[in-house]
Amino acid sequence: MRTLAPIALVSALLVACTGEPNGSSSSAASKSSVGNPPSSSSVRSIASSSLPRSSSSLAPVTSSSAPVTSSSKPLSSSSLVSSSSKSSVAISSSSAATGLKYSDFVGDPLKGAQRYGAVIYGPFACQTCHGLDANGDGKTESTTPIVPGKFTAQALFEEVLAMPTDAVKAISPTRCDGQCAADITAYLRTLIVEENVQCDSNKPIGYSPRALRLLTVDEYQNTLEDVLGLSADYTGKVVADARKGGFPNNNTANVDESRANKFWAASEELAKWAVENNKPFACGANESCSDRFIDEFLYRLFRRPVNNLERTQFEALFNNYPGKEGMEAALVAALNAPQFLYRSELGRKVSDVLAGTGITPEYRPANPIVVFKGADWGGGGIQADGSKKVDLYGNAGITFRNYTFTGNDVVKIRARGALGDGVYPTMQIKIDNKIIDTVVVNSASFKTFTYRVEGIVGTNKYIQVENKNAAGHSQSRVLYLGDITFGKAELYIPPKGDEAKLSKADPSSYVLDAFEYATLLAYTLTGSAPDQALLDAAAGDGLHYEADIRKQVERLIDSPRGRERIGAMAGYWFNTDKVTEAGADRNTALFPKYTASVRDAMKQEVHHLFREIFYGNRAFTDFYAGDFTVVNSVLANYYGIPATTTSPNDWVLVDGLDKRGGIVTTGAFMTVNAHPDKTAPIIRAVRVREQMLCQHILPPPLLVEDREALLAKVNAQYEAGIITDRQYYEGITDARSCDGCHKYQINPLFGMEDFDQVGQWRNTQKGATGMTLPIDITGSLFGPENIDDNATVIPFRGAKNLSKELAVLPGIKECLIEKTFRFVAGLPIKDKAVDPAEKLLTAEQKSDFLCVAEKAKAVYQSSGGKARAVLTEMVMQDLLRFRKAN
Amino acid sequence: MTSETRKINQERRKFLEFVSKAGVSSALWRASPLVAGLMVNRYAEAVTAPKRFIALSYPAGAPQGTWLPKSLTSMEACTTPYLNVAQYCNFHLVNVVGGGHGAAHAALNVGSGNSFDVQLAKLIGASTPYSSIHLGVRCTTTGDLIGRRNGQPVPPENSAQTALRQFFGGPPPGGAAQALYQKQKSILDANKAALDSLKKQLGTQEKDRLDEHLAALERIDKRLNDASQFVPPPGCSNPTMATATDMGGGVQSEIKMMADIAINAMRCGLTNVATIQLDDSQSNWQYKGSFSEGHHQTCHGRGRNDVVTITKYINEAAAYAIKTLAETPDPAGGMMIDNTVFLQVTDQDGISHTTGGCPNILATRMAGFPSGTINANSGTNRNLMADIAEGFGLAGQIAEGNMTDIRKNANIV
Repeated sequence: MRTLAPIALVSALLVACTGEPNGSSSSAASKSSVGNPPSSSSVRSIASSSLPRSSSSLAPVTSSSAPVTSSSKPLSSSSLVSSSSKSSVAISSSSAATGLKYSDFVGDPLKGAQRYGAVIYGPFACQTCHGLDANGDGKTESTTPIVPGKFTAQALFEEVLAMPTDAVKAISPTRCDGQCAADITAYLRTLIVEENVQCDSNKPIGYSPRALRLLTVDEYQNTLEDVLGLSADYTGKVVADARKGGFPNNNTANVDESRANKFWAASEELAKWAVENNKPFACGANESCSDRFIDEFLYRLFRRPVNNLERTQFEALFNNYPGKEGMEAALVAALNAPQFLYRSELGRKVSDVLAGTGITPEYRPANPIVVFKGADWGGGGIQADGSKKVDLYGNAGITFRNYTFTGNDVVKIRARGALGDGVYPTMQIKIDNKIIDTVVVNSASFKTFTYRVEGIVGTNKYIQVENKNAAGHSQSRVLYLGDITFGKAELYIPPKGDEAKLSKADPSSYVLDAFEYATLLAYTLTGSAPDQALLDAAAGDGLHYEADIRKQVERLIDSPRGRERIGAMAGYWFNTDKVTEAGADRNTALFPKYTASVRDAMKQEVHHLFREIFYGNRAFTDFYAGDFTVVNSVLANYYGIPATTTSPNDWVLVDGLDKRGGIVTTGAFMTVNAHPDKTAPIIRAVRVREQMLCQHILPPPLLVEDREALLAKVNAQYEAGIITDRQYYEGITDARSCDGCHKYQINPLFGMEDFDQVGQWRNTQKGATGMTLPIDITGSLFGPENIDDNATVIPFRGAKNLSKELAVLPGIKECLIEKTFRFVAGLPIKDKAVDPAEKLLTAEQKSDFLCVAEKAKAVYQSSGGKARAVLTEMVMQDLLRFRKAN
Repeated sequence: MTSETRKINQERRKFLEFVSKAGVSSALWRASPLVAGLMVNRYAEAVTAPKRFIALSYPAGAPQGTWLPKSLTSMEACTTPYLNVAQYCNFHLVNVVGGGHGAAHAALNVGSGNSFDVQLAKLIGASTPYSSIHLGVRCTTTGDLIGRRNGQPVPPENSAQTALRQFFGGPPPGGAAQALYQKQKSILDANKAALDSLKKQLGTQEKDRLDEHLAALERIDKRLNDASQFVPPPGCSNPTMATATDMGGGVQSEIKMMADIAINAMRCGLTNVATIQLDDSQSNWQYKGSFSEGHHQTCHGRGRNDVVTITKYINEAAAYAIKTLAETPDPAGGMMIDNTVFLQVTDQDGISHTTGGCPNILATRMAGFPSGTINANSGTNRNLMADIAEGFGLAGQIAEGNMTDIRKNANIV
């Protein structure tokens, strides 16, 4: 990148960067790096962190002592300040005065890189004085170098805030503060050379951070479909997701006023619809539906048993607003509930779990249990649901011969009631003429009443259940009796889990409880709430041991929702779902075949293709190298591929293709990464680097010299119809300031021009005036394993050939692992994968995550390169269950 | 499943059709007791005239040399739409600190985790049902947004229909509304209790996150409570809405519509702070006519005159907003422009993508603000926002030349 300092200010530049007029400083201190501040310095560089910041002790360069322009006119900040006093810039030399915290900002390293190279400080950029880290050693190349690794994030931030030097400040008062400084700090932190991270193979358990993950839009929608029975699309009615590492990720997203308002509005609409359509179940005008709502619906929506406080709150809504009104109110409350909106991955402290703290033992009927059916009462009043009807004042009684009371038994009675004058029936239970309980059966749906019965011994005991009147007389107040279960009382102590494993964990760490873990598995693998089988496993002892967990993981992956989710993973990863969005709109007159159904099919193609790899026992490399794709009738027709598919819903694998095959050649990838009027070879190249090889390219500089001249020249040729899209983009990047990225990293990948901006294969291109132009599909992939390695090059011809070349690169496997971890854990697997909006990894996380990566590599190898094996291995890792505060 | 963007566009098209039918919009607004109730409640209590702020953000500025008028009667190529409202306008060229590619958020960034509008809303929007409202036109990005709260982007509402329903749909009047509020309150209380319970398990950072959620629920609570106290509508029953569609791709009409919603929401006391953001800095929306590429590509790939055409087209909508403020009576007295500051901002200039000469307009007739000025060297955009805060009687906490925090000036407010 070229420095843009005007010649007239060369001497000022030297002063600014070195603190000496004419750059004549010979002080050894001036060569000190950041973190090694000179003991006696005339250098005002970022290195001076530990020095006092008063200008007198740092850079004694003032307008009077250092004439800095050729005109010798003394420069002062006031001379450059706007004449409007209101708009003047207050300058303070004390950065501490800002009180700003780096953690209050979301530093964007890409922006920071731009800012670092931009002329923020009058004619100067940071880079002007401090240089770039050309050799990747974590230190910029300059006489005033920066070594970001020597600083904490906050300290580095404060150093940037303290910029510019007094010398530069004298020339321009402009500062880079707040967000600007945060961006530069984030960029500088990317220069930090990762220390030699090792996986500690002796460490028994790894940890990821505790989290409260706000549902993503897809998770919200899928949950409503599965739990509430919603069929309408609500994805546009709530706030869109944040993204991290390219994937939807609301791990740190706030429910601010805007988002809360949206959730509220959606919940009111959903509740109204649900009640009108008997969702999640029909609730009659005079029925009490609270128990069923709480025990069935809320249980699934909250992904755990409802606690007593919650039960009371929801029962109050049903009591205060009976029937449908209560149902509607309860639905609004449930759909705005944090228990629904956030996925808790907080866990319980391991030491508490091992000590049994918070575990409540309960009595259960031990096997063999004896069940007395409602219909077993005999006589009249047996209902269609098998229950026995007991009218007001009536009772049901029988001498029960099939169970021998032991003196310590558990009896469970299922019952439901019908309102009479707005009052539910009162049930009195007697065994052997002893009153066990008198209780209001306040539910129109069955509710279970459980009792521990002591002191009754022997068989042939008389059991009587009476519908006692406790209010005004009403014949409608009817009691219905379901099954009664008998068993010897057994003290059930909920399992702590895998105690052997727990005992190996740091006692101060946290472990997800079975329901939190079930929720994690379900949303990760199906994008929705746990199904009943998974909740049952969580409620029992079914999610504590590896074999049980693996069984559930495989089941979820193979479920219909699991298959959808795996397809969606590819859509997120390659951003190809955007093909149906406005950004991929094209001129319908020019591209009449590029219809909405074609675009939707393109989006689905990527999902199907990835599923074919994932579920079809294929090596992941086939996702790039395969000669096949998966099409429906719409896409087969659009691509001109002979296929046996007969309808838009009939997706078939087509193999042996010569032009297509693999993700690179999919219509969606080529279209999303194109402009409406021409292809976008730059974007395609960047996507190949970033999405497929997980390499990283810095954004373009803010100001490209000669931009206008380049544009004018190239536009004229393009509009004359004599140059291709490729030539156009080669032309507008033909500047030295572009070379840093375009010479080796981007432009040599322009050989994907055999696909146009609507994903169609081509061997020529129409110029702007309609003339047929030959296209050039030759390309070179420089730095296939290290983006800065310009000595290694792989030549290719066309998109498909490039895709095949990519397939054999180690970066493909590395990228699969990085992206799969992001998909599973929502986290970067290493520092280089940290998103601008994320915290850097702790040393422990780096090591733990490296262990995961190494295991994933091993399983990739042993499985023959299967994506499914990698994903399953990651999901099975202990660090998803064991957590530490972040 | 249809994509979100397509749905938004479909919804927008439907809404345009909807409002283009004479009388429909009026009927909708007349049926909004919320509007009137809030207006009366607010202004009955108001001792001093309200202070309001609207920001309109659009990407890519204007080509150099096409913005600053020679005089208030001689506009430049991109500013001709402002000719009839120039007396309210202060034309500026500012340095947008941190602007450029992917930096739409720089436009209202004053150097802290909270953008200018969000900070302002804490002070001048504390008592309104919505502290601020955030509207978007084709702004489906999730990251590059002008509003920032605690460093997180504040997403705008892109659907005019949804915005209308959200801000002006209300409960039936009278006792029924109060009963409804009691029910809503019991729901919110349950949700708040759950948040409290959850907070106990968390560290400081996550607690802050849930505090924000809690504050949002408190705000909804207040709004619903206000809405339940119905007072007959004297002034919000028949607002004027932009109805005509335009030939440039619809964006102009959509900005006008969002401006109408913002201005009416202010007029009716729903909020004192509103932002409208057109797309983000990668601006993919497409101007029609002979243009086949997105707006941002036009800046990169076409000539200066083409960029001027699009900028002028956007500015016609901005001028409409200023004109509407000037012609709409304010229930607090005078016209809306007497109590409202309109700020048009951008992230970079039109072609070279530099940030040193970005066009801004500050339009108002509020006491203490100049009107009808042309300012070639206005310093940074942050200076301009500091000026606005000062004009509102608020003091910017100036540190290192940036206004990182705005607070009330006890001597003035």
